[in-house]
Amino acid sequence: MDKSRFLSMSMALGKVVAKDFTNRAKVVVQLNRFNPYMNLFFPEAETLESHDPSDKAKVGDIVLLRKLDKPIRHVETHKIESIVYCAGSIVDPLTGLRVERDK
Amino acid sequence: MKGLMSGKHPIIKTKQYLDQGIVLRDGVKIMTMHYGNYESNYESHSGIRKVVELNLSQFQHKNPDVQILVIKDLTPSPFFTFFLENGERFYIDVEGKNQVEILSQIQKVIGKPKELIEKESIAAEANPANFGPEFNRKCICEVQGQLPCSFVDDVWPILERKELKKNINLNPKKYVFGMEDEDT
Repeated sequence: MDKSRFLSMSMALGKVVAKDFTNRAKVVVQLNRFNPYMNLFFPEAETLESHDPSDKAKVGDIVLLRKLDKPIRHVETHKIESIVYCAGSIVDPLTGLRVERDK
Repeated sequence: MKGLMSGKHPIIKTKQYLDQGIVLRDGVKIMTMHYGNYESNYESHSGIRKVVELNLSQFQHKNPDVQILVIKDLTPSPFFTFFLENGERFYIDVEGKNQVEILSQIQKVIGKPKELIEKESIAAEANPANFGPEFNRKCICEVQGQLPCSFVDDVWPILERKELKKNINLNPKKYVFGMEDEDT
């Protein structure tokens, strides 16, 4: 897998998958790659390790990332800027109401 | 070529169709689309379903640095979100609209106008006055009004050029050669 394109992204949106250590979260990011023979776009996914300054993210959140100048602890290249949708209580941004699971 | 015209809409795979996409402005980094398959309001999501089916590859081909996501079954109302570089974000409501109305609204809000695209394409071209091994003209001897090429042979001997420099008239309007001789 070509990981250089994912590491050079300045801003990304992804989903939290695992949380093994404190202040560190694993995030899955998706991009589209172009196939020049068929002229179609195919999705590709890759996991990034990100730094969580306040330990508030849970498994299943949708999260906005931003790139750091220097990696912290040798592995974490991005940091979590804000939580967009919290797992368990999703708020509809247009109406301001909470969403039930079946609807 | 066999097997390249398969699928529901094979016109999406042609280059002429992909070049007719909307170009977004420079500050946009992420674009997401939200919709779903619900029984209560199935027809109000029909416009965005066509945009995802027919127009998503056009957006990604014209803006290769933007992350485009499709998220299904999150909220009962369909909308777009755009994330900018300085931390702002805004939403576009899409419920009950046509495919053409959605595209014209996106072009109005955050699409690049035609004049900006032409200006940037003209500024990115190379200067036509350059010459060198990479450009059209290899040497300055090809320009009209210059000396012939000195790479071939000795065009004008150097010692004779130094004597010619003494008779150069630097300011012909102030000092005219003929008039000075008559005064003295």
